[in-house]
Amino acid sequence: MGPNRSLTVLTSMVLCACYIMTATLFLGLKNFNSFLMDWGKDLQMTVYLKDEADATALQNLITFIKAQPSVQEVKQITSEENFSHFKNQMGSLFPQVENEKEVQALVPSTLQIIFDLKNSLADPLQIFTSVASLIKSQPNVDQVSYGQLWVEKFSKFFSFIRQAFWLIALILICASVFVFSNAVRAWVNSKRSEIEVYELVGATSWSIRKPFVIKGTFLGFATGCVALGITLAVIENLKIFMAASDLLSGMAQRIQTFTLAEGLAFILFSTGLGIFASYLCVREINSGWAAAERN
Amino acid sequence: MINFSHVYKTYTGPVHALKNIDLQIEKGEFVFLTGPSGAGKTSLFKLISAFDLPSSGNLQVAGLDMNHLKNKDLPYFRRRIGVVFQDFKLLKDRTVFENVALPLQLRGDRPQNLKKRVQEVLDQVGLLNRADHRPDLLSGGEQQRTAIARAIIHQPGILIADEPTGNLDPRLTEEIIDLFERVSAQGTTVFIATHDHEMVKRRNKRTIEITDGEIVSHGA
Repeated sequence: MGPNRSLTVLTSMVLCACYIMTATLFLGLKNFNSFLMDWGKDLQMTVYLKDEADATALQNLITFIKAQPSVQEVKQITSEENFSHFKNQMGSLFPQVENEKEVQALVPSTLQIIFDLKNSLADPLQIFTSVASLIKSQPNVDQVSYGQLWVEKFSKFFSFIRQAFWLIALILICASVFVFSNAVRAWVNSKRSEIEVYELVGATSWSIRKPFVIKGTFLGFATGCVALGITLAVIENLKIFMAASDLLSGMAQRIQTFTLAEGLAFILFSTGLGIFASYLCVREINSGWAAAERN
Repeated sequence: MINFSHVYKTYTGPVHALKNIDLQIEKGEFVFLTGPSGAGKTSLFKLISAFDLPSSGNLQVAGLDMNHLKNKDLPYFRRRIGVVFQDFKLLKDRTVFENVALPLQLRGDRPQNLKKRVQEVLDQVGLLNRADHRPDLLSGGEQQRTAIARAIIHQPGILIADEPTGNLDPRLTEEIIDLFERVSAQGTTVFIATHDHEMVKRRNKRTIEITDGEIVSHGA
């Protein structure tokens, strides 16, 4: 095996390792969000309606809310249901009032919105505040409530984890570009005499760079595919292992892997990185004066 | 065709490779450049072939001002000249045919035209029967003829050769110079650097002598 081929193999291995770590981090973040949602209380929002809201206006409002991002379900709860729920919760503490209907009239009808953020990597606080302000601006809406304190705490924690993910991902991407660059530089240097001949006979810069860019593209694509394959295989095996355990079987079912779109985006990203790194390096080295620089 | 006017070339050190070069070579001329090793012959050729830029002064080659030649225009300029080196600079993993065809391929010539032209030139340099050989299997003379074929295949206006016979025996040297004369006869300006004074005397062509970076004789 020549030094050039050894370098290519070594580069592929290091790139694979970087991509596996990036893929694992991504899946970690995705599953972390999902588990956190499961373990925490349901993410709900309550919309208090004005008394004058009629059935048509209410239906329009429900349609509007359902169209908002991450909204899973909208339930209408009448003032009677709310009053009954309130009474049940209070139990024996609820005072026996003579005119119960008058008290009930004070309890408004509400809409209960259930969110699904399990597959979302966006900040829940941002989603909640933007949806809440949109709903608040609608006619017939009196008030919007969503347990702001809990969401804020969750959001801060989520934000910290997300920032950590991006930082580590950035370090890994920089490392990948560095590894790519070294490999491309080595390829270019090993073909320096050939580049000189090409320059000599009037090859354009692009025709000299093209083979190196193609090689970088292929390396990016291949390492991305291999890394994705290894990550998926490890996750699948982990799921099988967890499913066999009494303690972790429930968790195993909830583990999420890459969707098709995410997988394709990952491969596209690794390929793009290959193109970017190789093009930059070749561009820097092959300026049309290779022969002049050497002699 | 080639016009040097007060050209200087200084490398870091400083090393003054060329000093106040004034030189004119007309279209179709056959010119020898002689001088001892380190006199500045290669530096002069690198300027003509746009493998380096003058430190100061004006240089025009094939009507182009080399001081103002942009990087993106370099390949198109080099397609107008042919360059031959002492070490042949052939691609070892390609056949003679592929090496010679390279300039036409890069220019985007049609395969049929390309094949016809390569065969013509290989015939001209006497290498038609060696078309499928790789350079490693050729003699020094044959490798140099391959390099010449590659340099003339696109019919350049100027052909420069830096010590093209430096690695060849006297018989092959004569053969190669004969070939250059035939190319010159077709209207190409041929400029050859050599330190073979005997051969230069026998050929009786214009001879420019350079010593220590300065032209000491412009020839007839």
